[in-house]
Amino acid sequence: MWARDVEIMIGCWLAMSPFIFGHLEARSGWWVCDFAAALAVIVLAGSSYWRPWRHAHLGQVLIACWVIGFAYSQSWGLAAGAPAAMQNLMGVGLLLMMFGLVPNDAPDPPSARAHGDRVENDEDTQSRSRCSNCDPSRHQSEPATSRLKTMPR
Amino acid sequence: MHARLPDNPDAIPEPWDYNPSAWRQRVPICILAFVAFLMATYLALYQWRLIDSVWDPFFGDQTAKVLDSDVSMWMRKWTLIPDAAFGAVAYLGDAIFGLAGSTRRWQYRPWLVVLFGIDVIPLGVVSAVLVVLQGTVVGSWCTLCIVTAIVSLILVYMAYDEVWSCLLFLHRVWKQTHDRHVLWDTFWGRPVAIADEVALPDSSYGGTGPAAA
Repeated sequence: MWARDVEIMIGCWLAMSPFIFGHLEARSGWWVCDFAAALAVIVLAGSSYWRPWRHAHLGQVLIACWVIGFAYSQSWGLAAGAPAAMQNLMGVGLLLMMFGLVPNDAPDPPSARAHGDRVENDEDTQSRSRCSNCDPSRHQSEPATSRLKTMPR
Repeated sequence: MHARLPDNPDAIPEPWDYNPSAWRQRVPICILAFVAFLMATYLALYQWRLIDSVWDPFFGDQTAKVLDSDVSMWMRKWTLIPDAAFGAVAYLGDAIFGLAGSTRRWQYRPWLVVLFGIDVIPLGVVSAVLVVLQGTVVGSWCTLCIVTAIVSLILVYMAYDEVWSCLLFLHRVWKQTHDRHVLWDTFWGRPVAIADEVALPDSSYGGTGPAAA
């Protein structure tokens, strides 16, 4: 879950960004973008700790697209280049895009394997996809139609 | 009981005689990528003018000319951030995607290995192109840029074996099944019987054979 911890830290950085980069009060869109993105990042990262919402972190990719798009919309065509606050959003967006893709249990096998479950192919698929270079007797003891089978660890 | 259930975390995929997803293979990649990240960040600090000058043992102020060149400014217009900062993020991505996943990720998380390959291999090519542009277009050289480009190419060399194993594994699954759904599930790491069947040579299963040694 280290990636989720990093995302929460990125969310905190986003929440502090308006003060660090000194957003003008007139730039209300910048304030809203930073705070809303910070809230969304922290909520999504926190939600990923709850197993039913374990894939919520993938929403970080959408947040990343949003902040990158916002940075482009506010900076495009400016002769002086992107303001520091928008460069910050661009960098944060790229980081979120990377960390958001890292699975919760990254050092372990995927959850179905980690829990000893195994999806078997149905009979049709098995007959089509029978491995040609292994001993056929290995398949005979298996119920071909079982969809989910608990495997011994 | 499925006799071919692979339970050896260090099983050796074809065509190698070592596991390219083992930590001893991946940690050096991550360390190297992190060193390149630090160097790129240092160059980005100059481009942000957070430091006044940039260190170069061989080419003197040519490094500053490269970092302030028209090519660099043109890239900055498109990426919003300095090209060195963009490179730093990419190197950090190499380290992050290098650290994520088990020692069987070439089989259990092919998508992650492919993503890692996409991050490492184009980055190496882009770095090399940028170094060529330094000499041909800008007419100046930058030691740290050259070092990071060399690191990128080394990373490509160190990372390609894992990506190749993964692609070979997916190819074997496709060859056995010709089923797009099976290939799709395998790519995303969902447990599929046939994928486990074709993942390894017989001798590498269940802790027997050379893989267990």
